[in-house]
Amino acid sequence: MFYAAAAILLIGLATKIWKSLRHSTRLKASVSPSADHPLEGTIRLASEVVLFRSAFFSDRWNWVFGTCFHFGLLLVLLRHLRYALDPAWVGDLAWAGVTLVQPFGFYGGLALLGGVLGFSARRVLFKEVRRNTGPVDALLLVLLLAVPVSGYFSGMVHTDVVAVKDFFIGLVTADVKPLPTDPLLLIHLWLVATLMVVLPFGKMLHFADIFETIAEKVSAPSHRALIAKRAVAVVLVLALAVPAVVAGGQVLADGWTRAQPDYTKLIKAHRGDDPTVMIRNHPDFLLHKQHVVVYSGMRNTDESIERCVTCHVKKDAGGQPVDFENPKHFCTECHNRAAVTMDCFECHNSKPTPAGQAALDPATRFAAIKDFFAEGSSLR
Amino acid sequence: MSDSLDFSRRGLLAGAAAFAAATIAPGVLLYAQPAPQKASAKSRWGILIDVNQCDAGCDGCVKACADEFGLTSFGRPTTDPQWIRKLTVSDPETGNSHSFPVMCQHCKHPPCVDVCPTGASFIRADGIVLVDRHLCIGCRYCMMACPYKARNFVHENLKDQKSYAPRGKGTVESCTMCVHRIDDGRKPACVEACSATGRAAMLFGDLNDPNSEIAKRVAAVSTTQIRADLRTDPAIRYQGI
Repeated sequence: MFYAAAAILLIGLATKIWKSLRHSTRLKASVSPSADHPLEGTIRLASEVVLFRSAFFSDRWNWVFGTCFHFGLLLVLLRHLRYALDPAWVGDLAWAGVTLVQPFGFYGGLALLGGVLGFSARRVLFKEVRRNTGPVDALLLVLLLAVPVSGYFSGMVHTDVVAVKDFFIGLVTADVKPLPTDPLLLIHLWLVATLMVVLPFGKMLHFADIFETIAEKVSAPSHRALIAKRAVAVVLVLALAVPAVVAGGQVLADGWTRAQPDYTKLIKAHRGDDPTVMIRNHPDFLLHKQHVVVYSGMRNTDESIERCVTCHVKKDAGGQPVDFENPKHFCTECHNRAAVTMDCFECHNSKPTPAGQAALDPATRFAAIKDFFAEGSSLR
Repeated sequence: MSDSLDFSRRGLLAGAAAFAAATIAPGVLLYAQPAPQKASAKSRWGILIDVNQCDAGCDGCVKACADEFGLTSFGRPTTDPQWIRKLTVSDPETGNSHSFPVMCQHCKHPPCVDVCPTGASFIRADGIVLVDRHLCIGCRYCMMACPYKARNFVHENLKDQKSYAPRGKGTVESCTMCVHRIDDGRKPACVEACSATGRAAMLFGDLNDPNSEIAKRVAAVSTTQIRADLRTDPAIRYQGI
């Protein structure tokens, strides 16, 4: 489904650019009044592309929403790079940039949403725009609203982002891996695929128009062209509906548990039999226990960070536990891969202390338990 | 097995299962461990310091504190952490001079808690005054408010903190009365170190428990709190100032 959607998007985009390029002799006219110097022309074109200059002077509302939408979209796309790029491909510095942009991407999404809402309001409220609104425009706006909303909601249920990333890296490298079957995540991704398919048929891929900046001649569609268009539409609807129905059926049959990523390596002693609970909610568990430990002095709980570190220790070549700055560190490995910063170890030790090692060492635990049951134990 | 970190889950289960542990369901492991007790308002932990027993040349308590919490010097005396200090006071009239340790006084009415804008500075049910560093924003109002100069700001990047004492740059910290030891049923490190010197100038215990040694001593001999006029009611008492 994703390959098909990407192909349709790319073909549609190529067609648009191709159509535009046929008008490319008019490029110079687009940045009129005439530029005396090549640099001036470049600057004017750049201000058109980056700041939407002509929109600013022609339709102010359009410009406001457009700016919100486009810069929001830019930040959101940069944020989503964390799913599509392997840190090994881009180098440390670029990956640090991806990590840095994460929180901005969150607010960028809100700006994007505001822009889309504005555009929707514009299509409803402004008479002259409403007259120009076709079903494809309405569908696009609905999709553009639904995609970020579903994205925010799928973030709220603590999706296993590392598994999502593995899936998309698998798509890129043609080595498809299972996707976590979160309903909200699946809805989000399905909407994105739908959007990719619908995009070439609306007015949204207008950046191709920068090559011509004047409207195409409108010719009345012939009867045969209309039939062809409808046939294509039916095929597309089927292409999108079939995976949705199949996935939905699977989900209904198997209760969301099918095709989970391979968690067999995970120690299941954490939270009953479902390791995903631990993966999803580990920050909450840690923070909750922090509160209990600090305010009530309830120590020795299984979820104290020391216990985590003691079990999840990774060792270097010399057999010594590694620090969180080492990319092999248990927490760092995943967090780095998901481009999520982590502050825990600015204060907490990231390596097991001798006492912590003893806490789970069977021989020492044996002694401690025996001591506990011995009469007059100091542990009481 | 005992010297290896790389133990398997099976080894863990086997070791624990033999002694009062049970696997009640696949992946659910129960084992006996000391039941954690909530800090209780019934206790009020305190320390009595006998100034006459304290040697001016001894800094055992200061060293023990530094060891316990990993308080390392960065060679910058103005900003190096100092949770417990030895003070020497003298009476100019008589020439009488005493040396004694001063740390967080764990006041019943702590000014640091009053001024904290985020609620990071708090007093536990058992009277121990602490900083929740997840909330501390490093504004240092508490340092200004404290009449005992007990609090420190962490100015340096730290590494390899103790697991029971998370410390980090940009937050305020002070003596915790070794709260991790108290919750474990042990004495604070400074008190332990003081007894190890044979002087035993420091006595730790529950001021609220009439049968505790400290409560009996406080009832029997005259003790003072530093700056009692401020009515902060410290849990650290001094004998012989």
